[in-house]
Amino acid sequence: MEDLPAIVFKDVDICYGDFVALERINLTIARGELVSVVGPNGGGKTTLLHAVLGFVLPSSGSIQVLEGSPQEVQPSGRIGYLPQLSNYDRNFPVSARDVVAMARFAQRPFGTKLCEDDRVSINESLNVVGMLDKQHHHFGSLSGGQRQRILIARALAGEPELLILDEPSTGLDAVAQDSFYHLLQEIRHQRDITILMVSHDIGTVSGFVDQIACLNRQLHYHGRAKDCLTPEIVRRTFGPHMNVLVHDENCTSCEHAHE
Amino acid sequence: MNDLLTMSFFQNALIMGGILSVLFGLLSFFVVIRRMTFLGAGIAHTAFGGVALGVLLGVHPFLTSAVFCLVSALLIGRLVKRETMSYDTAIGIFFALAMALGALFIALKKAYTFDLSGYLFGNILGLNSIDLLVGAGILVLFIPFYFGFFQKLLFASFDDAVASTTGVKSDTLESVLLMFLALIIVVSIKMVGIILVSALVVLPASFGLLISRDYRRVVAASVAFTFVTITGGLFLSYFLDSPAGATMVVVGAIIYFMTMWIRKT
Ligand SMILES: Nc1ncnc2c1ncn2[C@@H]1O[C@H](COP(=O)(O)OP(=O)(O)OP(=O)(O)O)[C@@H](O)[C@H]1O
Ligand SMILES: [Mg+2]
Repeated sequence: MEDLPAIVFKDVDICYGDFVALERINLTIARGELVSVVGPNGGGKTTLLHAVLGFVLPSSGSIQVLEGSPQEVQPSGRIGYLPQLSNYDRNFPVSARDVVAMARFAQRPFGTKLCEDDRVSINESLNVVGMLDKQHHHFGSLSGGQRQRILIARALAGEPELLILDEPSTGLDAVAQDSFYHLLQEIRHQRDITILMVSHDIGTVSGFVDQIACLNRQLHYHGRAKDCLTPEIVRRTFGPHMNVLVHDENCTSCEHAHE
Repeated sequence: MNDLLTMSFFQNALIMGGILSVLFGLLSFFVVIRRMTFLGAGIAHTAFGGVALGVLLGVHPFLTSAVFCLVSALLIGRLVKRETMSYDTAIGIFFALAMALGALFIALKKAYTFDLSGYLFGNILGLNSIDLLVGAGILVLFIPFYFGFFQKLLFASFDDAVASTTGVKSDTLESVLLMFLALIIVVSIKMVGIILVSALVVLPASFGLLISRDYRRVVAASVAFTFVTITGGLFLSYFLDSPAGATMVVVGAIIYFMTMWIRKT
């Protein structure tokens, strides 16, 4: 059981009408791994996550998630999900804590209240993202980064086996970003969960994750991040102008690659 | 005053007012936070087609309008879910289509023997014990659904996609909510009328949102507001000898705008 992979894509094509968003994707993600998907805008990263979640169906090939089809697994609450840049109604009458609590209420039987376990998990998740002191603030009045942290806390609060994060670092400040990636590593070790996330900062991310997947309609690379991610691959994924994007001081892992 | 309370039509109206206060107070919350207020107005107007069909066929207009409202609520829900249409478009089309059908049915019937304005603007004199029973029946079904699924409805309203990944059946919940919206609108037609009912869908929770940003208080304020508006409107309409539905809507709007003004200053 433990050795079975968390996610398997076999020859998966995904189309929106005539448009092929993903082509012949073969991808296996082992349990307990922390994997980041990188790629240009429109490269199909969100589509890949949506396929794991069962929001879009492959036009050919097969997808297995936690030993089931995405449709079977999706309603079980075994997946925690953070969508990309969600536009929430700022007037929605909920506090930060209420938002995190939603993940626990979703798993409660009809009409029951939260139990002690739920409360502990909500507190822990709020604490982990450093928002315990702001838990009673109105969600809509928080800053963008603070709201992002709350949504991350909500994804964690359900105690998922698989965590799917679409650009989780959007809106987080540099300190929060760094501690967020450390946090992901920590969570992964503590709870033994699989994490699949999308990120744009290859430089930072490749220092933290086990595996990186370069996606631009096709999967150009999937493997260890450190040392193996060559400029060739990056260029193939992002096009010839990619160097401009990865050339920055934070970009430790591919330093030697630029030379 | 004592005379008033012993008059059976007024007793009926008060009981119905109490039932509707709870129904609209609770319902309004989800309609407003889901930004479906136009849907409330749209579904209410489709009832007109149903009423006219009932008159044409000689069936009780309550039954035909319930069918019209339920079908249009569910169809609109489906069309929007499949992204065939936006809410505004779907409602705009159904709204006009049902009104047009209503006008055709009435024209076919030729004899204008029924109380058109009673359906459009409400007529509390027409309330009978069957209406009260139907209202109470819907209340008995709605309350467990509402409170039993409250948190799941809240999650689905806040964030449909994420809710569905955590096991919330947001599509089913939304369909049931739309069905209740249709039924509640239909039972309220005698009280406030097809044209005015949208005020009861929109105003209560909008008032609640003026008062608080905590959903618990918003819901409580919403129910209290509806109760004050409906009963206040009823008494006032008796003393002013004005139409009850219209008086309620004016009372509600005045409370809403006064509150808004007080909160601003
Ligand atoms: N619902 C949809 N209908 C039609 N086309 C879509 C849909 N969603 C995505 N696409 C197309 O599929 C391609 C991949 O989109 P996707 O959102 O997966 O990209 P992404 O890699 O997540 O980009 P970004 O970095 O901007 O988030 C894009 O060309 C987009 O236009
Ligand atoms: Mg994306």
